[in-house]
Amino acid sequence: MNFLSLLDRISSVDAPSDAAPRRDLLRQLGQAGARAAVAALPLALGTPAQAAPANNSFDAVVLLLKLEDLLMDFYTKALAAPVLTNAAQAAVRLDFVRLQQQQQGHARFLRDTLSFAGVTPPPAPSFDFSGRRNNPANPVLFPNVLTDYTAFLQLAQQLEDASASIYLGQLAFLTTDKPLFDAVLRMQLVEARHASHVRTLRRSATPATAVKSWPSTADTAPTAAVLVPSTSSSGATPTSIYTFEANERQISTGTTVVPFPTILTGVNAVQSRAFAEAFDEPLPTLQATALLSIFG
Amino acid sequence: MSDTTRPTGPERLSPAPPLYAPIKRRSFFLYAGATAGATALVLAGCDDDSDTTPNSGLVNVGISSANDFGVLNYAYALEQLEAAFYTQLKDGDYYKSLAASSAEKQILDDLHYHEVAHRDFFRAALSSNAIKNLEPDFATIDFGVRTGATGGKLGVLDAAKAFEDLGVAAYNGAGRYIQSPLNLVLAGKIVSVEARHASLIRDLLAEATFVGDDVVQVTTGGPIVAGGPVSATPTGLERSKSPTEVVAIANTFLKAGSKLDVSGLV
Repeated sequence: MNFLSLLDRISSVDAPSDAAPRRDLLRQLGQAGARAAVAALPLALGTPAQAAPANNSFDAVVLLLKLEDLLMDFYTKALAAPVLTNAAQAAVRLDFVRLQQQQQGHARFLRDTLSFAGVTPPPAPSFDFSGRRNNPANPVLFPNVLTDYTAFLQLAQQLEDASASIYLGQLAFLTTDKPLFDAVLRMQLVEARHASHVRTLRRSATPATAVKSWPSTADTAPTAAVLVPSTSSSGATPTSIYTFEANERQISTGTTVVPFPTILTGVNAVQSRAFAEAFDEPLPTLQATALLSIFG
Repeated sequence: MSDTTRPTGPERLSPAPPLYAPIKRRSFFLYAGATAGATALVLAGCDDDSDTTPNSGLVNVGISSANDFGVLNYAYALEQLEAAFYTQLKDGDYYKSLAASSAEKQILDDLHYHEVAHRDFFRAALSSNAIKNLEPDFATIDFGVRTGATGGKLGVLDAAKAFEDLGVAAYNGAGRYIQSPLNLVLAGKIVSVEARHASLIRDLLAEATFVGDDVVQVTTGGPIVAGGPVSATPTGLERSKSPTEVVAIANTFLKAGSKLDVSGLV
């Protein structure tokens, strides 16, 4: 069952002629009747246990909440672990305190948005950043991320880049709800600032890693890569999140692709990798969901 | 609309949730009504969406009611300004003093490439609906120094920071004027990179200043959505600027005859 359609049905009881606008999460805020009815339903009972997220504003907010919970937990654990309590990282510790606080602010905003719409927000899952999914028998995918600063930064960069991309992917489902779109875009931008800063830290760390402040084909690829399902076919090998960022085709209208190689010539000539660098790319819902489930 | 609280109607509805300062719920529903009314006025006064208004000497970016040309021209204008800035920067003494292998030179090259790509993306997308090429006025920027220019001028990194932060806040405040889902996502893809630029330039100027309370609700709260509920506590949301607030700044970097009129974005 799609939870949002349940909301629609409930809200349509008191205003059957005006059900369509209620599809928008924030516009449900004034629906006291719907709120009271739905508030009684815990989220876990309202949706099938492992329902694949549908592409709508409600599922978008739930997905983004899990993302923010993940980032907040990552920094909370790192701040309490050797990787950031070590004297060698004293100079950057405050940066991560700040990141953690902002992820916390975002998670709180998304929880309040759900509560405000009459939905009991899901609790944060128990995250495991080793990639073992809380099972010691599973292989470690991301070794030493809470003890080794280089390993930590490498995962932090991928999570922040993925965060910016997951937000971009979900914005597409909020386009009919401008107030919510507005707020979510403003969180996306902070994620992009974070990602840029973590990349800057990687350049200045010892040992330094050659990465730009935006995903680039010139970047040193991660040695412990966060992998997501490929879009090419169901049996294909999982792929790095940066596969999506290599896109050089930008559509202006309909199916028209802006011909950068043709128009950016002469004094406007740019390095060809800049076509891809100049645009951050969305991570589709399927890949976003798979990425989050690696950790919790 | 600006980042300030929009006047609301007389109705008081049920209490706001804990994060939000008390608001009048009605403000959410004012969007549709207020926009429809204002649109009618603009339509009556302007029937062409990308003309230079001869009397004022301003470049009217167009209107936001009928299609996205107005708001795309607004973005195009800002990208023209940014691209022109980095183009002129590369002719300046500070840039020329940088060693070819220096990180800062490579960063400034990349920023130039990205902004040129953004500008030409909009030019191609708008095609015959595009506003004219704007003439910048960078008299207040000293292209010879990195930062701390004398005579009230901006050094190149100070100016870069101003332009990048302005671009982010502008896209942020423009989302509500975009109608096409394709364009909304496209704006997100571009502004995300602008935010990366802003973060980087800020870190170049002073390490770990990638977010400041002037651009993100870090230590103080603010509107959750423009004209909507206000959070008393920090939310970690990027701050936004309305088109009117943005052009008040952007126009100081544009020559007479190239200054922008955004009154059609409502």
